[in-house]
Amino acid sequence: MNCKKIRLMIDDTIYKRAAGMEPAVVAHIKTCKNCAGYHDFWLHRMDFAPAKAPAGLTERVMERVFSEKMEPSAGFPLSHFLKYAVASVVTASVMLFIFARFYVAQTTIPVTFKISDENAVSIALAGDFNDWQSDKILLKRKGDVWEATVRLKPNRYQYMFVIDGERFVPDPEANMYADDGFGHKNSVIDISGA
Amino acid sequence: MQDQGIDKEELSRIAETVRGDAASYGYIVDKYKDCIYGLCLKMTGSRHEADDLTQEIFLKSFKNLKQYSVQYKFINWLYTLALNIIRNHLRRKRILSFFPLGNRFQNDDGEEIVFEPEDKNGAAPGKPQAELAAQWTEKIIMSLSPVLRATFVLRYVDNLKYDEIASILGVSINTVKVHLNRARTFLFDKYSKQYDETFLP
Repeated sequence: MNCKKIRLMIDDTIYKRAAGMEPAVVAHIKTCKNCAGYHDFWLHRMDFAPAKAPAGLTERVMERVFSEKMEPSAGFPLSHFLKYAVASVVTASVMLFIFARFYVAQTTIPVTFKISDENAVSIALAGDFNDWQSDKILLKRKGDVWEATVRLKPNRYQYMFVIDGERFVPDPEANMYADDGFGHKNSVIDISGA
Repeated sequence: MQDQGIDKEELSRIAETVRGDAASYGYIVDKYKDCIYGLCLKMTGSRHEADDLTQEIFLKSFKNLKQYSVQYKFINWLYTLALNIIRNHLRRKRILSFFPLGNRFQNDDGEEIVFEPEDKNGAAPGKPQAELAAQWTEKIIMSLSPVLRATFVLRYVDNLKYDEIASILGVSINTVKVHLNRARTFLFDKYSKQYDETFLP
């Protein structure tokens, strides 16, 4: 039997405070000086002097216990409630703000573009929102007025009407215009999420 | 631990304390102050720290007494709470210290203590060798890591059973046995090296 097992058996005997060691242990420690030393060492070290608490310790503890009891915060303190309430409100506000930003960013708003032209054969809408492609969004004729409704995310866009597939004209009823860098003006529409 | 059976007086005082009679808690403090102070002293090696920690432990126990369930021995619940507080204290102390806890530690005056064998031949005049050996062991316990130290103290100072120690420390009984074996082997090896011979009484 190896020393590790013998030492565990010694530990067990000491734990049980049994009177004598197992025969295997007795036989082993006759031939193993190290395990004999381990056995003798621990056999004489299991009686520790009990500690004595310093005088007046109970009184000092009870003094603190009573002062703790006297404080109004002994139950569920108001300050704790306020702390938790403020923390909850702040957390909820931050989450609401993030959610609102995310929601607004993802939401599209229907926007109707109109232009009057009685002579046009076809009118299309081109702008930042469709990479200025002149054949993707076609307006429908209703009398002399051409219109198309497009769902756009809140943002600021530049756009133009494309008449008969070749002539770019700005929206005469746009609120704003921007220079297109080629000497012309693009119509500008500002769509807010509010 | 000294108390083996159900202490009806203890249960009654706990119930009274929970109902709002703080004075009843004095019975609990008085009954367990020695073993909690002893545990703190063995775990910190400082009388000042042990005194402060004992107060903190009893105060926290008072505040959390409603959480105690009578199906457990009160002392075991108290030990669990005490060891959590001691563990946090040792962690804070380790962070604040430039030197890790190990073989070096300080007495109450801040002086570093170095343990030397009292007598190369094992016995001082008028003192039996076993008593000296026990004193040496008490001091050198501080060299153990906190978890081994706690296991060792609960077993050999407070005489708790394996299953009680396992429950207090939140580990299995086998882990307790392994910790105890490691602690004993460590202390025995340290003693053997220090004396450069096998101890034979």
